[in-house]
Amino acid sequence: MVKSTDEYYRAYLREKQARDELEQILEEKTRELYQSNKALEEKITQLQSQQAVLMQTEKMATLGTLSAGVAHEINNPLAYAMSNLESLNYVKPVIAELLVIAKNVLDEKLSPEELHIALHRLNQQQSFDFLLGDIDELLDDAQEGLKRIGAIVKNLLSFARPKNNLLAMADIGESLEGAIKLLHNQLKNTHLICNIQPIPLSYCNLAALNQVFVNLLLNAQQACEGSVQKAEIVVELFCEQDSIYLSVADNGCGMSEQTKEHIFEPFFTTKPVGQGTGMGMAIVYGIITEHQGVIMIESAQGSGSKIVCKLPVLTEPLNNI
Amino acid sequence: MKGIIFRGLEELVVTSHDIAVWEKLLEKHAPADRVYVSAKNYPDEELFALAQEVAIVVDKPLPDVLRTFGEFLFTYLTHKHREILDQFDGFSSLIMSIDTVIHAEVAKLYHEPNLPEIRCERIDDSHILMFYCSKRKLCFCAEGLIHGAAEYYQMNVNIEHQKCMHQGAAECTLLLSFGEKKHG
Repeated sequence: MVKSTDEYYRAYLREKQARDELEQILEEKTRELYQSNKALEEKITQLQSQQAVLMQTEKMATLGTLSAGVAHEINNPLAYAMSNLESLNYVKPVIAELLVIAKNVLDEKLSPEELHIALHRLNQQQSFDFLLGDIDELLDDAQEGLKRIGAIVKNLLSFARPKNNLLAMADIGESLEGAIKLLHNQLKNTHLICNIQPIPLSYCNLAALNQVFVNLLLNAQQACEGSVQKAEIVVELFCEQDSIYLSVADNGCGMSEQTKEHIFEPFFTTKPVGQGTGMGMAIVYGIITEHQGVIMIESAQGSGSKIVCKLPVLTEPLNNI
Repeated sequence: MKGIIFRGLEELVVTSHDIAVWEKLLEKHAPADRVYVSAKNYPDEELFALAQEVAIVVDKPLPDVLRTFGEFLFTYLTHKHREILDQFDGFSSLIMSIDTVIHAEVAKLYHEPNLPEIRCERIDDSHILMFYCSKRKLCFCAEGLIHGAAEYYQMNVNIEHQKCMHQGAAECTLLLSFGEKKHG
């Protein structure tokens, strides 16, 4: 009986030893796996920050493309705002003198006759009737010009700002309209047809989508450059069955099969060396997929391209944007 | 609860009593085919039932059994993972690093270890205030582990269990008073 118990105990010890050894192997492997996982997580963080830098670089390159147009856009209203303010400068002495006269009247330093003579002299110098109409016009025009500059700068800033991760319930149409305004100068020789329908609000990153729209519109405009026919871009935004559709179609040069195959690859570009970062469509792809959307391309060489972005209407925030 | 804790209990029962006692405990409180493996998770209730039964076998209150188990568990765990202790220069350093070092090391070895929340405040060179919180309420086992650590570093420790989850507190508060063992 004792022998049998001893044998039983020895068998137990052997089984325990086997468990210990296996567990040790498992623990070593688990620790290795943990460390590899940690390293991978660090790499992902590193990649995400590199991606953010790349996106910002691409944005800055686009800004470079836009800068001449934007400068022109700002220059026009700036010119007449400045000119109007200069004109107002000539009016300043008359107004200053009128104020002095008014003060003297209040201080009872001027008799009614003297007041009449002073006003009559001033009116002869600068017609009050003319001033009344002109001041309003000068100020209104200058204000309108400055408002235009303000809107251009606002669009520019909202495009140039580094992509943040803020998601909000927003109208994607606003972002599209901002992009169209920003590209006003680039698109001035293009027949732009916009069919923007009201769409439901959706959780999205407006700053990121703004970059998508600018990239798509710029690509379309550049695809039309050098074409014999009048450039035409058709922009459509609508909602259908819980999905928002944004399409940009042009009648430009179109894409070859090879271009269509590689268009979303980072650093792929059909532009000459030194022009284009090759990141534009890669970034568009990244942003659209981050919004759980898809991109479809219809294109034929010589007859133009149509890029369609399909985005789900999101009523709850996504965690991965 | 991770299998390694069950294995610690198994080792305690087998070495201090008999393999037959462990077999009886298993027959009574575990499924028929139960073999504990460190990396696997097993129901908490199984551990509580086994510990309760041990208390009956040795005729001691459950808190005392859990303290004894905790003290034994410290030796059992350090035997398996001695390298973790190399990071500490003494008892106080180990206690202060339970959350940042020991639990981090456990997380490397076991998936979803469901560790208790422990934070410590050093009052002075010989006093530490420890806060323990776990839905398992194994604070008496934690006391045993502290005693095991003190024994390992040749220290005397007195634990004043000021607040206890078993008495309705949101977390246990343990005041640790410790000093080197006097020899001779």
